[in-house]
Amino acid sequence: MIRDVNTVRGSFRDPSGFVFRHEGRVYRQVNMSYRDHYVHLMRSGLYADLCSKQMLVRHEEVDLDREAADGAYVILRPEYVPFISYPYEWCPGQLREAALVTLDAQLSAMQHGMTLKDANAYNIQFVQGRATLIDTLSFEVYEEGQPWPAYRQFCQHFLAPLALACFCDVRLTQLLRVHIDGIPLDLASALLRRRTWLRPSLLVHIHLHARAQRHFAGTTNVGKDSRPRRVSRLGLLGLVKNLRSAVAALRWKPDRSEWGQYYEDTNYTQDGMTHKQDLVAGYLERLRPGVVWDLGANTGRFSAIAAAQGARVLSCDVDPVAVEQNYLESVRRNDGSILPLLLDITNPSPGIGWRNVERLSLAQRRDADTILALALVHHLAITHNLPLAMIAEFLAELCESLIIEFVPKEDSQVQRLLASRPDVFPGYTRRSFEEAFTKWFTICDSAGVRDSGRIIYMLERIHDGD
Amino acid sequence: MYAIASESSIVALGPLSTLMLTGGTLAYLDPGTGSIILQTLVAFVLGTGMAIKIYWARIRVALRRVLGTKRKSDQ
Repeated sequence: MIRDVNTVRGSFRDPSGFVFRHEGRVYRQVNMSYRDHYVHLMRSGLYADLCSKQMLVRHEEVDLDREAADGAYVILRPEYVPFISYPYEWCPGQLREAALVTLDAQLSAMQHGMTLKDANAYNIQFVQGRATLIDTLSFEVYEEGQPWPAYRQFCQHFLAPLALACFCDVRLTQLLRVHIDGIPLDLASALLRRRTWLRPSLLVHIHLHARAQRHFAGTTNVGKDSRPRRVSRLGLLGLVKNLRSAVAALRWKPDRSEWGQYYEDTNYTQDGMTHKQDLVAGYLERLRPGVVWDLGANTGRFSAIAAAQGARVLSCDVDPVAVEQNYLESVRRNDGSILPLLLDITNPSPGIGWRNVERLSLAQRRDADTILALALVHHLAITHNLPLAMIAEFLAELCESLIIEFVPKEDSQVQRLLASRPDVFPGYTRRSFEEAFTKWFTICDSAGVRDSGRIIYMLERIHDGD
Repeated sequence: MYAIASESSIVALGPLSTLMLTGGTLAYLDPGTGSIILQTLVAFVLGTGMAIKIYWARIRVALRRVLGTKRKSDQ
């Protein structure tokens, strides 16, 4: 027995097992204590049912006894999940989809004599564009009369942020970054507008739920209140279906944001835009990246070009409207190779949770071969006052090659950014741009975009010894 | 995809109305207790609603039989 397995650091709460890495692959140990539940999952038909609907990640049992820690029943090798994203990086549409898959998994589980023992949003990942449960050990054998242990967690992880996005402000989903076990219901209840009290599902599952938590938190007469609470199977079914209808009704309808109409609000001519697309497509064809991160992707026009060439694409933007549109469009096209994510490059996801490693920072999850940074640098340099040298260093840490657009100061979009502030950017020139980036990259090619002063560069990372 | 339990059924949550009247914050001891108690009440109401839905056809037949018999006897 080897006890010093390379445990994934976010995998420690559930005593049923844990995730570890071995020779570059991810494995999941199922502990003896979970054996009966695991056997039921596999033999009841639940596993096959969920996998056939792409709701649960597939796995195979492997013979890795030497790598197993004490108490192992079996070792699983789950299907590869290319990129782990977190709920605070999802748009409301993605959060809603993840919530529905969680509830559908619970409904399927109930049909097979099991129940979800947790409803953790971090257990859902987008695999080939589909929200998929990745924690095989989330199910336990259902005992008649047992309440749903995941009810509170579901409300905190899914219902509260969705309700806040739909009825208050979409930016409040970022509270998930602060509250790793979901948004506290008393906080959600306080933030939600009064009119949400008129929606029966939100009244019960958030407002009264918060009140009930507060009221019974002070219960000290345990003896008096210790009789087991029973929930009938039909009652549980009613509860889960009610939550499902509540979530299904929570569709975020955004206002027009600053950049939501970006492609229609551009200063390119049609010819210029086509030329830019051809340039980017040509550079991508030469680089042939397996993984592309499109930073400042907007609604994902250039991500789609990369995806069409066979790349897996992380399509990031700071604007929830753009990410939502990108996600809904990816779903409509059934394009599983694009993962739209809500990310602020000037303040990317940090490591959070226990010792700041339970949920990893964006940089810790880097896997890009190529980064697309189109119509981005002027925002970073001028809106956010980031020196070009720092932008170049940041991008060099994340990728092997870079397709980047330089937007000169004369461009009307830059002039717009400068309209309301003094121009304190004398160093924002093509020359200093090239100087900053050639410290880290080699310029392989560059070309001006037709009908504009913009330049697209194809850069490759310099490594020591090159 | 699934038959949706009517949200209107939970409007008539008699026992829950007491929770709306409760206030005051005490120590944060067991965040699950309130959730479980609320869940028990909500599930009871929703479960009853579902049971009525499932057995509605039978209930209707039974009611008709009773009412029909009564009408006949009235005549």
